[in-house]
Amino acid sequence: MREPSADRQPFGLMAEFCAPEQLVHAVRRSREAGYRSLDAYSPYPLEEMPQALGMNGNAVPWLCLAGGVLGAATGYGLQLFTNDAYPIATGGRPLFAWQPFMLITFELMVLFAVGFTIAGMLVLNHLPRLHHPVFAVTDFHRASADRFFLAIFCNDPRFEITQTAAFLQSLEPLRVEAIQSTEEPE
Amino acid sequence: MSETASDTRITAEITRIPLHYPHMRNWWLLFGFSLVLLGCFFVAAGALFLNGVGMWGNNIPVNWGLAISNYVWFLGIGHAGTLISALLLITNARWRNSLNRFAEAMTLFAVVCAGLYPILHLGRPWLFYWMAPYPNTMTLYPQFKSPLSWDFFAVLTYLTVSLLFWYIGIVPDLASVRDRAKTRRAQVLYGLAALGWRGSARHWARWQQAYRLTAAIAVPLVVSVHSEISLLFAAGPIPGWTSTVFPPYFVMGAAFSGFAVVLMIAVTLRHALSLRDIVTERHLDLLARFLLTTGLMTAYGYVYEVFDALYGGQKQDLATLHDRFTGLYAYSYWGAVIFNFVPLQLLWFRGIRARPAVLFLIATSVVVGMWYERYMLLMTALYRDYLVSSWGEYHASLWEWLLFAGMIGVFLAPFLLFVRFLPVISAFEVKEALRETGDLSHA
Amino acid sequence: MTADRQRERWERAAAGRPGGVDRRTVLKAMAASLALAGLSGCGAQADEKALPYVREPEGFTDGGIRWYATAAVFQGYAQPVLGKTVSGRPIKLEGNPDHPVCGGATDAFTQAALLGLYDPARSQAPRREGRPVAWSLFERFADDLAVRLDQEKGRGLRLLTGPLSSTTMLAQIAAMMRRWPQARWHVSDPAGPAEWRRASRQLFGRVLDRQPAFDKAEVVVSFDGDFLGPGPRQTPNARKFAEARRRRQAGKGRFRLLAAEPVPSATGVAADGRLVASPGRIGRLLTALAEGLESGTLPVAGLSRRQSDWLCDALTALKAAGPRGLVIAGDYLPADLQALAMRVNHRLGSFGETMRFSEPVLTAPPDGEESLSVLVRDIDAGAVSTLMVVGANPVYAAPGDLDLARRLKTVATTIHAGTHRDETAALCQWHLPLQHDLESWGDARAVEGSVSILQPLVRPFYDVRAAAVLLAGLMGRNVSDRTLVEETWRERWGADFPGRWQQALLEGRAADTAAPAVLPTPVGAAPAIVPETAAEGLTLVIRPDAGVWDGCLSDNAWAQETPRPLSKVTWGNVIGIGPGLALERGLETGDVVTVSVGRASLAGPVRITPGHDDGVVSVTLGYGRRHEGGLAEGLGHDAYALQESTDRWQRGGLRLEPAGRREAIATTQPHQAMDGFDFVRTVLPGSAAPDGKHAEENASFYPKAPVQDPSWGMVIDLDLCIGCNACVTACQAENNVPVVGKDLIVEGREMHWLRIDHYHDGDIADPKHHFQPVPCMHCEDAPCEMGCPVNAAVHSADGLNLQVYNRCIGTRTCSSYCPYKVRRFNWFDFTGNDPETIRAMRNPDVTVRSRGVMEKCTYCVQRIAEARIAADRQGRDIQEGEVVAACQQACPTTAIVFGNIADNASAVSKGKADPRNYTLLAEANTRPRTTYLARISDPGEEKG
Repeated sequence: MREPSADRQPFGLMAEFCAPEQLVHAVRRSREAGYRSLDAYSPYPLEEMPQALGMNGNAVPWLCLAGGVLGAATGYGLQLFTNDAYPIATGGRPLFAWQPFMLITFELMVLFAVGFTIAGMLVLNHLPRLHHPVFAVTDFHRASADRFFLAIFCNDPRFEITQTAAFLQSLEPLRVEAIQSTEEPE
Repeated sequence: MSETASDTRITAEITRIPLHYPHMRNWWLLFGFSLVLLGCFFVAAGALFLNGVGMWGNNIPVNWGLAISNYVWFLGIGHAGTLISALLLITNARWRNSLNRFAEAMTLFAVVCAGLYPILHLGRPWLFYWMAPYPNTMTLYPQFKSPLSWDFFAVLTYLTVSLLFWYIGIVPDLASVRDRAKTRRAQVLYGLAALGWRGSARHWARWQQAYRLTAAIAVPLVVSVHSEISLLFAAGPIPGWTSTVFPPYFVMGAAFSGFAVVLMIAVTLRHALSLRDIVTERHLDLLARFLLTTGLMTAYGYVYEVFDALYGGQKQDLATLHDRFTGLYAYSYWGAVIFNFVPLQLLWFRGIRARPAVLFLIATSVVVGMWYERYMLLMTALYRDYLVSSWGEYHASLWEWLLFAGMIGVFLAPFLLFVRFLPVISAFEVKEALRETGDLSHA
Repeated sequence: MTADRQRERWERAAAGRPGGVDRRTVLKAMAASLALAGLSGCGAQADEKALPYVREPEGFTDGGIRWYATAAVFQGYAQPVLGKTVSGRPIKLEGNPDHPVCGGATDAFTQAALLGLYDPARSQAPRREGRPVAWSLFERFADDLAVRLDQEKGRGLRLLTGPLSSTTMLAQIAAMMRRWPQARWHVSDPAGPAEWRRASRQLFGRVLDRQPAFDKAEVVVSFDGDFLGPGPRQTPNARKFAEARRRRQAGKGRFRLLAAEPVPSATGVAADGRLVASPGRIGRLLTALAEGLESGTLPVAGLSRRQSDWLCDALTALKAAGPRGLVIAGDYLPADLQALAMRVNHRLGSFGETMRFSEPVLTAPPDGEESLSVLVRDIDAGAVSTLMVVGANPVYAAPGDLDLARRLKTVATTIHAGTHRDETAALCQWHLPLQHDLESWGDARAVEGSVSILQPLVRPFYDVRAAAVLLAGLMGRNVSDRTLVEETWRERWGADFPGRWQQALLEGRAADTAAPAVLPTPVGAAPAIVPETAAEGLTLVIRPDAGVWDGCLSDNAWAQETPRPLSKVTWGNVIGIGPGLALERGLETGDVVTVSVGRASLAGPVRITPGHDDGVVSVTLGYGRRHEGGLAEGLGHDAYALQESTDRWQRGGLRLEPAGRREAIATTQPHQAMDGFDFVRTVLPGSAAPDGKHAEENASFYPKAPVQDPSWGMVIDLDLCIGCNACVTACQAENNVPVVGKDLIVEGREMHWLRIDHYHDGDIADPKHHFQPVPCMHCEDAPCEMGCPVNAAVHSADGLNLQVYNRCIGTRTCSSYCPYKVRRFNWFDFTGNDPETIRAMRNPDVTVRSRGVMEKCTYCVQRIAEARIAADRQGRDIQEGEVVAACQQACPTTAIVFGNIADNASAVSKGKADPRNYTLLAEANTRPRTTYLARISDPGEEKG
């Protein structure tokens, strides 16, 4: 489920933990409790997290493959086209000599594959996004160092500020705090 | 101590470097020095553009001189970063995390130096872009059957991929620096660079996929790139070049010289930025083992080359071989053999591998040795090719040496800026590794 | 010091080094461009009275292209040429195909004459005491002089010229001597065959010219006679030699060439049997041969095994050949030896057969060979009050002991007329700039005597005058050079004048004016030859330089940069020593030594010359020039200093001390040993070159491209090449090949598209020598093309390996990959700041290359294009022989054959079908279009 837009008030609720295991546990509990629109924040990737959040997206690998295929095609096509557009005899080689063409084909395959992978990753993550409500949360700057956060967003059907807050408290976090909206509703 | 406590410490230790750098005086001294070298670069390049390649010692038959041998040398060095980072990532060797960041940075700047050389050595450098296929009124395109076209694409791809790989690797740490930054300016700058990374689990998941895929692709790329560089020589019909051993030979040599430089940098940074408990002795030990291994592989290349010539039995090849041992440039052959492989043997001893200073010296000798090798491969083949009548000698002119010094500056200056302003070690990966292994020296 | 200045000048002028162009160069260029109104735009015009060449080749009639039959004068002899002019500018000289002497070929000197015409360093205005003055000033002076001479019957007037065959000028001189009976005419001929003239007097009581018929000979035995080497007779000699060789190749008769010489020469390289012998030993061998011929038994006492074998071989061969035998004694051997050799010829009965004679072509001055010495004697006696030097440079080019530099000062009035402000000009009160032959009307006789009328290819573009006009002026006549020449021949031809004049201009040669043949008989007995003196010390051998001859070409950049045939040295002369002597004295090539004979001495770098006699030290003339601003200023050493008027060419009692320093020798081929490779192959007569077709069989990764018609190819016959450099200089002229100067040659950056490799093979003391011209091979599977990333090196449909200059970015991969290293790179801007004149000389059909691009031999693609256009116009195919490459055109031995290999009837196809045909470096598997015909080893050896 996508995050709500930044003008919702409150944007959601945030619970802070001091250990990765707690966060993983908390995420599992929240999903058992039926929460779907939630996210976790950690200073480094946690192996268990994708499964815990129920993520099973393979978009990035597919993009990589697509990029690779496109790159290879571009590379080989480019060489075929240019040699056809302006045929020039060189070194006694045939105009279309596949052997030497392979190298550039390979290079462009790699280039495109990597390009697609990384660009795709950024796009799917909606990055760059310099401004986000969670940044306003107390201590959130430690999400990049040594603290672990769980956020339940307001667009979750089961989201109800007091109940959800109470639920989060039941997970024994260091702190539960509302995420303030950062933009005025229009 | 609790994990999070060590997380805190690691974060602090690494992010403190860009935010308030420890030894500013030494840094300025070094940076000033590298700026002087950079100045040499602009002087040498300027004079070159003004007057032409004639400023150098090149001639017929030695069309290529220092420029091209340095090109191969720099590019070789530039192979370790991505190789270490990617290869060790997909083989799940956690200890890489303390090294990969600066290794990759080193790669980037080395490749930039390498890329500049072929352009400078052109007769008409201002037309270098004719190497690229772009639509033009003459509908004239590059000649894709030429090893130079291959190199052009290889180096370009390698540079781009290395840059992207390095960048997405550093983004989370930039975020971490952003969050620690006190001044507004720092917050804004690092914030922009961090792309608003907030450590979301969903982001991490896709990030990891992308990072691992890139790594997996980068490994064959590294191999392909230096193989293609070797074809720049192997594809020509010149005795001493036309050998099938060249691609693997070059790749091994590249990794060898690259690891040497990584080792040098590791020892230096470890000492300069007092990162002893992040770049531990075990890291140095592992690097040393890698150096030894790749060194022995390169040595095999030497042996095979001799065997190749003897087995082929072509009069010309034998002449070139003999010339390498005894000819005008024999010093470069023996220089390569001695600097590359003699001190290297010390690495068999654990005691030695535990002594950073000694490791640094050995690595330096390897870097020098590999420079000799590149020079030797170029010279011994070119200055005496087929026809006795066209033999000629090559002596690099002062301008070429000046340019070489300048290139060191081109490498050093940005690298020092990187050390000064960016997290030189991948903090989050160290932490991640720490969580899994629970021991820093394994991290 | 001056050497540095000279180098700088060249770097800057030619190479465009940092620091730009120095002042002198600027002035030179400015002076040129000022004077060049005549050359710019359509202004340049040949004299309207000049008549274009009668048989203009197809397609050459448009584009303002005109050919004129005229001649370049060298050593007084006419070298018949066709001059190609484009919109009035002469851009190329080629041999006159209708002339019996050259048959269309030229030598390197003649090719270089074109640059002499455009030389920006030429003298451009009259000078008095070094200051430029108007011609009128001299005219007034000349009038007064004439008046005085009339009163004094010409007392004290001396006229000094170079060797002359010009009927007009000789007539003028005769008239002058009649008008001023007490005046006297002298000739300075520093490299002329004075010893032969003495020998001729001794033999026949008068001077006769030798006209040897090598083509008729079956055996030629040469005693230090370099008849294939540089000199006015090189072209005809080489042609006749080639004819004989081709006869042998075809199996239609025998031809053997045996040579004994102290210093390797073109003749020695071409010889079937070469013997290394000191000058003294050569005398001994010749006398022995003569005796052997008389008595039938060879006195071989005191001869080494090698020598006696060679001598026996020569004797038996000569006996067998009889009248078809020919003994040649070098022009520079003592008169007695030359006379003896001639008696041997007479004994063989070869007079009129292989050794023919004619009336002398050059007119000797009153005192004959002593002319210059007499002048000096008279100067000392104070009998000379007015000295007029025309077209000679005795201050530099004369034996050291004559010391004219000092003596000239004692003469009251001195006048010098020449094309350059040379050493003599510097010491004369008056200097008058002369016209170049190619911009003048005149006449001269070729070596066989037939007269060529010189017609100008272009109007003079400096304020200069013809020598004949000067002489006429002195005698009070103000006429044009054309009038003078016309008068001369109208007088001689009378009523036939109009027709004969026209014919002479059209064909470049006045019909039946050849010198009448004579069949003399030797008078008296041969004088006793002084026996070979036990060699005290070393013998010095002095010879003219293969590049700049006696110095007359030392201001010519092409001549300077053309590698000397054997040493491959440029921009200077060296001291040649044998390997044995080098070992004994611990000398290496480049060590500077001081060579002294009597009081005279010189210093220069030695060059170890394989096959060089160890008792001999050899130097060449033409260097050590001292005139200000000359191109050659400060280059090499002056060997004239070691000459003595009585004893000029070989001198005993030579001392040689190391000077303890080294000097860079600008050579284009440092390594000349073949090192056991088979670059040049030698086969027995009738047998095939090993694996000649090797290249074709080599498997390729790719399918072969089909051969189209036409497909251009070249065959070079190494059995005929005499390494004379005519092709090299012709290529330089045709293709606007830049000159780079001494420094860049040292750095290995010469630009010649065509080079002639010289190899020595075997025992370094007495090796086999070979020449091998190496143009671009135009490979079918060219590595250069494969290497070029920007499609600058490409293959044309007709098989040319093309270089697209404006596409080249200068990666130099092509050259790195080239197994033959025939590619040349513009390391600097070699053409940007060429003087105006040099620009005017360029061939408009050939791109001028800029800095940073690669260039190389194109098989003269511009000539192929011209022929194709002509053929297309007439809707036909290109005919065999229609495309002639510049190198092929110039070659006097026709060793270079070029044409369509798709046409089996073509000469080049026949050549490639020859069993001697082989591919250079077949192992590189590039399938070259240029192949070679192996040398044929001595039939004499095959017997044994």
